Amino acid sequence: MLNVKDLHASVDGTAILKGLNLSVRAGEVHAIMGPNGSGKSTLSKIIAGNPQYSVDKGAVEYEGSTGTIDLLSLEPEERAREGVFLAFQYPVEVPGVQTALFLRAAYNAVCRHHGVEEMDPIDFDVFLHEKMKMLDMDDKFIDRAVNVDFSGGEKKRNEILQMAVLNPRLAILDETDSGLDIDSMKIVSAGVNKLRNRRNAMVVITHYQRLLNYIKPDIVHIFCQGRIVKSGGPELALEVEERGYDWLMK
Amino acid sequence: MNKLFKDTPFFESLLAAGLPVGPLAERPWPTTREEAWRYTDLSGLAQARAHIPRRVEGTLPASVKALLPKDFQGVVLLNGIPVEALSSFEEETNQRTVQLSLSSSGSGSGDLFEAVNRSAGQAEVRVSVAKGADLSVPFYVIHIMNAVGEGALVCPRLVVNLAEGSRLRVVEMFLGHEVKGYVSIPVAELSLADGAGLDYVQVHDHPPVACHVGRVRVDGARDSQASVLTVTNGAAVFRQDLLCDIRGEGSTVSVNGLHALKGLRHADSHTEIRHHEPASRSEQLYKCVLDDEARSVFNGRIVVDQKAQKTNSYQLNKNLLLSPDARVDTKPQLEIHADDVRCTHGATIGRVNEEEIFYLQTRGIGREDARRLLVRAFMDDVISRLEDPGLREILSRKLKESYGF
Ligand SMILES: Nc1ncnc2c1ncn2[C@@H]1O[C@H](COP(=O)(O)OP(=O)(O)OP(=O)(O)O)[C@@H](O)[C@H]1O
Ligand SMILES: [Mg+2]
Repeated sequence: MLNVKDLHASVDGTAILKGLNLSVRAGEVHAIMGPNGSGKSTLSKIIAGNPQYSVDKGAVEYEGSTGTIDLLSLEPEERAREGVFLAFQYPVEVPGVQTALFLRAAYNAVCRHHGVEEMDPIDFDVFLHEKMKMLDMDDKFIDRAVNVDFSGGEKKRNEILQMAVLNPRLAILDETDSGLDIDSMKIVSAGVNKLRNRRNAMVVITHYQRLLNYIKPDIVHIFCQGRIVKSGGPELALEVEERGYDWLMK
Repeated sequence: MNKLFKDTPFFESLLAAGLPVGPLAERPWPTTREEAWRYTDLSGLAQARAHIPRRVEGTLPASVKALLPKDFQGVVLLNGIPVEALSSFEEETNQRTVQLSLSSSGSGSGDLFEAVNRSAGQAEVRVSVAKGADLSVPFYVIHIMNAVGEGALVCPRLVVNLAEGSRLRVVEMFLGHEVKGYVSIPVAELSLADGAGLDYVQVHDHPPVACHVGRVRVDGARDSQASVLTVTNGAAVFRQDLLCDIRGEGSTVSVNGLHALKGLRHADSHTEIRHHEPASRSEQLYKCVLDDEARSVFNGRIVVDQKAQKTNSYQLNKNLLLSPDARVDTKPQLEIHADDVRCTHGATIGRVNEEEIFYLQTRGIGREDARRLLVRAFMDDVISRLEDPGLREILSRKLKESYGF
């Protein structure tokens, strides 16, 4: 589904990703762990299409609705409509834009792209409330401006609500667990697991092995200095939890 | 040498049209050398050859009809002339009276444009609300400039008197329809007795060639509450002077505005709020969105008299630039003569936040739609404060359909 090949990327002339390879197939869950500043969020933002970063070398292929596409050639909104979703490490506050209105605009933009009929406000309200129930979210959130004055944990939960509404084919969750209390993490993980199926894939970026007890990965990658330095099964997460990253950084 | 009113072709044309402007001949004509007119160039107006438009056939343009509530109460004026067939109100109920008359001419008080307004002797709409009456259904005063030629002069007057403890909502609209460069010089005088409450909204939709120089006066007695909102898409020249005299203890004025400007349009709002008595409150929020080569001016003056202790005054002007060629001039002016007061003011000038756009894009919303959503969110902040849902809807449609935002 996703094929990142020898990706080199920089910001303002500083290299951040230095020859990254990652291959994710439909139905898989990949976990990425790695030290602060190693480039995990940069990778996720480049996949989502953030124009701040320049790709100096390499390619990102993606299995879209019409076959393999060069993801980097698409605008961010086109990627989203093709099923790419990023749950932000730091969700952005959007003053003045009501969450419910935003979610419906997003949902309908994806519908339009696929030639599917848009949902009217009343049907969407029912649909949205179902998703909110799954994530145990209070009604009041969707009347408020997107993420404005949301607590850290509420913002993260709102990211997963967006994921539930858009039902992406490839979801990248960038430290969604950071800022969530234990109960919230369980609820959010259960929600994420419900969205998991054979046709979609997830990349879960985290610092804590604990999350992986709830969202069970097929493959764990260790990210260091802009590259994946080691990949393995779930046991790799336990190993770095115990030993840290030093031994991998040679 | 300073220019005088009599030196302008505008003055000549008013005389020729039979207006008694003779006594105003020696008044100075404002130029951009004067601080108060620094960013608003009236040299075009000085050259205008004004004429008083004739009565036209009384139909409501479809666009105006579509905008108004079906059963609206109020007065419709076409080219400055009240049209009974289009208006809909009872002259006298036990709660309020509405009188239409020609303004008294010649008293010459106020600034030059107020004096011109009086001299023109055009329609005056006078709404008086009885003691304790609570009128929440908006009263509309709608000025339509329809099929008028270059230089048509429209000088209406609105006078609102609220007796003790009464409440009223008034919406005044200035709508230019199939017109050339008219000149509108309206005056609104709003006075609130003790404990009265007024919601006053002024909505403008001028063609890009029009010239509008308007004045609003608010006079609030003890414990009164006045809220004024001006929404405009600007014009070739758009200037509004809003003067609030807070004369009573415990009264509040809230003065808000929205400039939503495109093309070469210009809008200049000058506000002046005078706190004369202790423990009163004023709050101002002016938001301006500028695209293309538009120009916005905000000048907010707050005067706190020596005895006006415990005054609480707040002013904010927020500007959103959508184009590198747009220009904003903003200035607070505080004159505080009392020592125990709270006055805060601020101004911001910014662009649409790229991070917010990117965030919306990652959810499938196209870049242009995302931008539009954010610009509307910026503006809706002002409109969402209105209590009347019908009015919020009207303004929301105006922004989209006529202003193009
Ligand atoms: N827009 C930017 N401008 C300048 N430097 C940046 C920018 N984005 C990222 N960097 C730098 O790139 C490096 C990688 O950052 P990134 O956010 O990808 O790390 P990370 O692996 O997600 O870290 P963390 O675990 O702390 O979230 C860091 O040194 C960071 O300071
Ligand atoms: Mg990160």
